[in-house]
Amino acid sequence: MKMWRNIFILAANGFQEVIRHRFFYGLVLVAVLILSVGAILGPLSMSEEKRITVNFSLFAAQIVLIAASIFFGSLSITRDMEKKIITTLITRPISRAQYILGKFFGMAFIMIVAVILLGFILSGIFYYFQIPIQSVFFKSLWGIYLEALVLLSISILFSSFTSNFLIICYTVCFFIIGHWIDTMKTLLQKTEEPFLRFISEYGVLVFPNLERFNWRPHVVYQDLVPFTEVMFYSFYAVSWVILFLVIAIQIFNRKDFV
Amino acid sequence: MSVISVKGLNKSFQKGLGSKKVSVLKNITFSVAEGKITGFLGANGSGKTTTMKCMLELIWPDQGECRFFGSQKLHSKLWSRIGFLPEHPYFYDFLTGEEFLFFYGRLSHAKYSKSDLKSRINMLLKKMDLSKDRDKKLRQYSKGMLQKIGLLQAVIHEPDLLILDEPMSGLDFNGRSYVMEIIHQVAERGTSVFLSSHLLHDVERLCSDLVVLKEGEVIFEGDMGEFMGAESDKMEIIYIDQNKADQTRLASNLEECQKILDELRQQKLDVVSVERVSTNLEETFRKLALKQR
Repeated sequence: MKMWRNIFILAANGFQEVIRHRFFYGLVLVAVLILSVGAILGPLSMSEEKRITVNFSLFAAQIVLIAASIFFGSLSITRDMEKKIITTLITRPISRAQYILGKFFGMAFIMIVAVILLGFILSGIFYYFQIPIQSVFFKSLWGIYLEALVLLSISILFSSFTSNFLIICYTVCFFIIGHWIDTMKTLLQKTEEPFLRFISEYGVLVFPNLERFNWRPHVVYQDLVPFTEVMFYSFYAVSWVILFLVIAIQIFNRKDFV
Repeated sequence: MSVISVKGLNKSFQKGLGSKKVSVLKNITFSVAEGKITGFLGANGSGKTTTMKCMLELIWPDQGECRFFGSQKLHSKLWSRIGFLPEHPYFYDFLTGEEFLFFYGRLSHAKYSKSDLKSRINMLLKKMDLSKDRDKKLRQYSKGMLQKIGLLQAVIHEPDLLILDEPMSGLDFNGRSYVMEIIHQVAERGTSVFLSSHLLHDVERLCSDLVVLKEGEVIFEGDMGEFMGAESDKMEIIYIDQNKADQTRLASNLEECQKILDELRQQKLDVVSVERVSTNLEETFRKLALKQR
């Protein structure tokens, strides 16, 4: 019980930190700007107005959320370590694991608030352009949230042993590879080189396939996404999150705070 | 009972890739008595902060262990009995002074209801003369104010043991007085205090016991008076002269003391006492603990 109380206190503090951070308001401004651009771009293209509006708006929402997860994920823990705030936190009745989980849940909560806000803005845009809002729209937003959670756990993992700049670099690498896994696999399988074939078979297993959470095209073409698929990939995302957090906690437990 | 018992702590660090490991702590062993204010002294780089961090498991020692309140290893319940203020504290500067103490109070499992915790915060802020700054964000606090509120986060949950790393650094005379008053008050309540400081005059006023480090080794552990006497060669001889009241003679070393005693015996005067003359802490510390340069 006390464990969850500690995690809640740290998560609430993390939430408070983000909403008082200047970058958060900058991000809100950027989100509004990008979504406006999406809304303007649509009418400019004569025949595919709705497709471009949907695609661009959801893409903008994804980028904003992922930027927030990478930035705040990397900042929250490294700043505590650099400024030695952590020495007054883990010398309380909280374990290092609870500290990591508190940070993660605080950010995860911020992400959910951000997804709801972006959902409202997107609904407004869709309503204006008379684009029907179907369940696949919400599933697509859920997919963006899952991707942000996976990237958040990756940035927390890197926070346990490297600097702020490198955390952002590594997490962006995971983001790019995560979206290109299927393409890379197809390309590498065509080669005769055994090492590259090995990479195509097993190397890609090290990276979460982020394209699995991308249900944006289904919104564009108004396709159905089966609920079982959403459930399966939610479980897939949670498994990666747990794996990354467990590794982060293991590293953190052995860390010296000099 | 000792509230802290450190046995055989060893720690070395590698400074840079490929370089040899530098031993920072060498078989550190000492204990801190319950209900006392114990000073932890040593020159810069002698290993005070590293020892404190090893004790609090912020750094994992290569060897050795630390036990608290008798023979207990650190575990989650024990943490709520300990308060800690690190050197050069930096806190969440987006919080106001009041929010900050509330956050740490809840995190320390302070045995108060929300309203009681708030009234304790009010009382502590008042004591440190920070009441008017309670709603200011910590980023607007001066270094001295941060040091004061840092001490408050360490005592917010009324710990049984208070560990302070340089609690008076960066404070002016008034600030140091406030901090000393708080330390005295918590000690009077029965809290054991273990503090490191460079301000030897303040340590002399506050502490009854001392642990002194030199180049990663404990060179003294014991009573403050014993420490100050240990390095003094001066002897004070009090004797009775029939015509006058108690007379005093000073000898600068043992040899001279012996000569004076022989002289007094020849004159058939009664010697009342022979005592080593205490010097001040700074003088003794300089002799014993500072590196030869």
